Amino acid sequence: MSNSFLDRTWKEIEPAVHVILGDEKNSSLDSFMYTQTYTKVYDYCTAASSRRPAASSVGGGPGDGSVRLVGGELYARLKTYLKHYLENLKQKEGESFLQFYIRTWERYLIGSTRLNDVLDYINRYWVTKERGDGHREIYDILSLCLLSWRDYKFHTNLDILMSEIMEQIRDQRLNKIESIGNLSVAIKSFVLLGFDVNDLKKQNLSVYINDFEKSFLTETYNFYAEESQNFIKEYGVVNYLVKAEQRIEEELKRLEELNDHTRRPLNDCLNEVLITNHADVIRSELTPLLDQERYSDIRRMHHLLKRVPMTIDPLLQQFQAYIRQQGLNAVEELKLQLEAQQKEQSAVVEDDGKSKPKKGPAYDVDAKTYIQTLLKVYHKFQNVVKESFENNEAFVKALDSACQSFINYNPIATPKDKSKSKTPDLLAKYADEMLRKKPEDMSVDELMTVFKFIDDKESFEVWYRRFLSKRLMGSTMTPEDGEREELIIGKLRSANTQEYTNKITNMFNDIRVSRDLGTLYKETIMQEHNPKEYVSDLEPRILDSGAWQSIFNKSNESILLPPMLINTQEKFASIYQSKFPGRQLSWIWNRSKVELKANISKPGKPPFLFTVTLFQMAILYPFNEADTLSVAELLEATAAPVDVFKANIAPLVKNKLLVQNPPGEEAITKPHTTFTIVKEYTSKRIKVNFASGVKITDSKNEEKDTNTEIQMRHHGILKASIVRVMKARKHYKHEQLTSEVYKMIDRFKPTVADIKKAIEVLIDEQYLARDSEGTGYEYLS
Amino acid sequence: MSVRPATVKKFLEVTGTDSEEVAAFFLQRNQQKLTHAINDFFVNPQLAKNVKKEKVTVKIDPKVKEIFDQYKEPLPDALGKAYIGIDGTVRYISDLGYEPEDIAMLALAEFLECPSVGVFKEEPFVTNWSKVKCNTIEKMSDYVRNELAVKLAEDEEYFKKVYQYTYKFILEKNERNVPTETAVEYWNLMLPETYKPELETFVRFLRETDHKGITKDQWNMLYPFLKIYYEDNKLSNYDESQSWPVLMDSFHDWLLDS
Repeated sequence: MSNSFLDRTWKEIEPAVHVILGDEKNSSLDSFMYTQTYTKVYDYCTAASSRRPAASSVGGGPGDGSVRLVGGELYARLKTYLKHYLENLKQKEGESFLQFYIRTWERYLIGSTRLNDVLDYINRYWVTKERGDGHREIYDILSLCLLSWRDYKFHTNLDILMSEIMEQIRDQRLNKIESIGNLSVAIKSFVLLGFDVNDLKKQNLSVYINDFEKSFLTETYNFYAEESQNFIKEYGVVNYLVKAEQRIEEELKRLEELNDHTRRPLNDCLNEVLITNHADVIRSELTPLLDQERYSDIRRMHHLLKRVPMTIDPLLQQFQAYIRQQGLNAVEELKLQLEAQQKEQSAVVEDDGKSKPKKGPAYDVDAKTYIQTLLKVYHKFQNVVKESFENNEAFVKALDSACQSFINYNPIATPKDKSKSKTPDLLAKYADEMLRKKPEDMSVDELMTVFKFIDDKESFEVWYRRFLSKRLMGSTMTPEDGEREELIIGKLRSANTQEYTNKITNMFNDIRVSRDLGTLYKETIMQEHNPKEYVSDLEPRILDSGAWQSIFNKSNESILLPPMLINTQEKFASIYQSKFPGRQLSWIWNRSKVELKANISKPGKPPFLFTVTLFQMAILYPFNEADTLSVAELLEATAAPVDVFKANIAPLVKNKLLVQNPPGEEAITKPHTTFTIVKEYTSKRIKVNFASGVKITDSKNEEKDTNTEIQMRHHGILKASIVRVMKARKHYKHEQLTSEVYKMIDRFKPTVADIKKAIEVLIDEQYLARDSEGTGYEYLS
Repeated sequence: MSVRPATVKKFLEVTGTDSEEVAAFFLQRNQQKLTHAINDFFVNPQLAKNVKKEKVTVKIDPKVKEIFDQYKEPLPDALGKAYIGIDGTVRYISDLGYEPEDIAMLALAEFLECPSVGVFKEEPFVTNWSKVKCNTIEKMSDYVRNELAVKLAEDEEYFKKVYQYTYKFILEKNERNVPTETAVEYWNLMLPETYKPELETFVRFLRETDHKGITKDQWNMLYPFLKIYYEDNKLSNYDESQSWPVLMDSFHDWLLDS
């Protein structure tokens, strides 16, 4: 091979190469020079190849046989040239290194691409063959150019390059300069300078990641660590929330200038330095912001923190605790208010010098006020969840948990630590008031909102039935009232189970069936020989003792029926027994009422209509025969217990139907006291109600009775659940049993002691036995 | 014995069973309600098997029977069975050389399967003495002294068995619980001297809280409870979520308060 041919060729193409890569004068590359260079390279390669016979046969060429591919020498010359060229690029006066780098790189990149075209013949034949033979250190011309840049221009100046790039970015962050258009050219050069030696077409980000991204992230972290710290100190958290959001936006915009690989690490870096590191300080602002009702600031806080999900959990806890405390405060305030009112009232009464101080709790709780106090807190924070937390599910849950806690346990519902919550009672009372008085500011929806939070649903049901029994037994229910009752039952059923409302529904059925029985009775006596022997207007109430337990409690007071009612009672009993054979009918006299026509008006006036209790009727009946009767005689005639007698006769005396001698409360039950019926009764009204003056049960006992009924229900449910678990497990450890039973029961929250008591009862009844270790139980049946 | 003979009799009649224990078991399980107990018996027949103990045939020694006859009541009980009543019991115990308030007498009661205080039934009396070949008062006295009393002091499991049996023994018929004062008497009699201070505190608690009666479960669990209370005198490791009866939880609370 002739060196002179190579020298000549190189000398001919060198100026063109220089112009292509970019000379000092920025000469343009004309197409003539382009084709000329290409031809010269082609000539050299082909001529050099044909001049020497092939050493080995590599592929079949046309004409005279094989051709050895030439180009290595030219490649080597170019390589040396590139090194020299790059090392001699000069920084212009007044030009920063970065500007110099960007300027020369932009030009060099164009030049390299052109050069790759011009010398394409070498690429296509010689380079391809060499790389095919496994010479990985040989590259196509473009790659050779880039590698040369990397080795002679990039690596040697990396420090100053990076420091100037980072300085630029810093200036931007400090708002000193605006656009970074050119900067991105420099940054993108890092991407192009990464090579995969084995596959030149594959992008390799090693240079970008190692030489740029790492320091970029460190610098970013350091910059914002300092900035955020100072900012919070100077302007406070609320302003920082805006600032951080804005910074994140800016930095994400910067990603356009960077390789997409940086997106995730940059995100992580910003989240850590701007959010995670300050999460505690940011969150500590939640309480004051809630106090000041600055909901849009809270929204901003949530928006920022939400970028780092793990910072949300403590926020949720804080939010939940705050709501709970607000709920407790609201109830405490109400309690103090009620106590103060009570004190005021008793003070006024004391001034009169008449009344004795009242016993019992220091205040009465008005169900409506209480429930509305709870709801007010709930609605307030429901709004916060919407305004500030986009109704996010986790925050809705935190709200619910907080409400559940303070609604069931608060200074009014549970004045003592272990006392049973009064909220279910008060809610049932709320429902009762709503159904009876129908005020506009009470609604079924509000009832159901609180119901949802109540732990002890059983308690509510028992209380609800107690009030319902009064509504059903009391005055007549209009069809509209009935619809309202139905609506609530429907809602309770869908919020719970069919079974939950069974007893309530049965109570309505009982009333319906009773009405039918009344009709049947009427039809039956009309067919009797002498219908006059019976009471025609009988309104029987046949009630199931399970659902109507409140009415059955302590209602076994008996009397001698006035003779005129005995036929009626027997008739009705026989009708009932024939319709429902096998059912036991017990008579509850103290709930019965009678309407009497009394012919003791002034002459010429219509007779009075008296509404009296059955006991009052029994007391009045003997007065048909005598005008004056003693207590002893009346007690004998009625066989009523003394206290019942007293309660029933008092309204008759008070309303001046009977004249007591001697008068006074003390004398009312003394055997020799007498009662005389007035000859002519005077009243402004034709209808007089003596029955309403009779008290059946006082509220204190009612609460006790109801709580006993609830306790029995709880106990029954617990026993059933324990047996169900044990039946399946046969042998079970104590802890497992209690936790399974606890999970099973959703109608109320049993305490550990409740469960243990039920277990002990089952042991006593020999359904369970302790196992030999004493830490578990065996099922015996 | 003061079982409601009518219910037991009726139960045996209807079910065709001959075991009084089975009848008593089912009646107790059903709060002495006859129809429920009978129904329970037919629904859960396997329970009856647990009640009936396997009876090993033992050759009855007529001499033992003679001793029994010396003490027995002149008239049989409501079911027509012979038994030693309270007078016979006092004489028998004194002839054995013991006071009635001796812990060994509880072991004896357990050994002879006494259904309640002051009653020895013929069948277990004769069978069990014959089984261990004691046919004179002297041999019986020796057996109590050298076998039962020794075993009671040395064999923890046996002690537990006698302790648990004692509840049944002292439970008055038709009562659901043993009155607290009775239970306390027997605890003082039975429980090891080591636990006396702990027992005293526990009894003080029962009295202060005016506790009315001790259930079988509370009785059974007191012994293991005293053990842990003895080892941990402030009950600082006591855990209410464990399976201790609620009574022990209340005691724990009481102890913390005082």
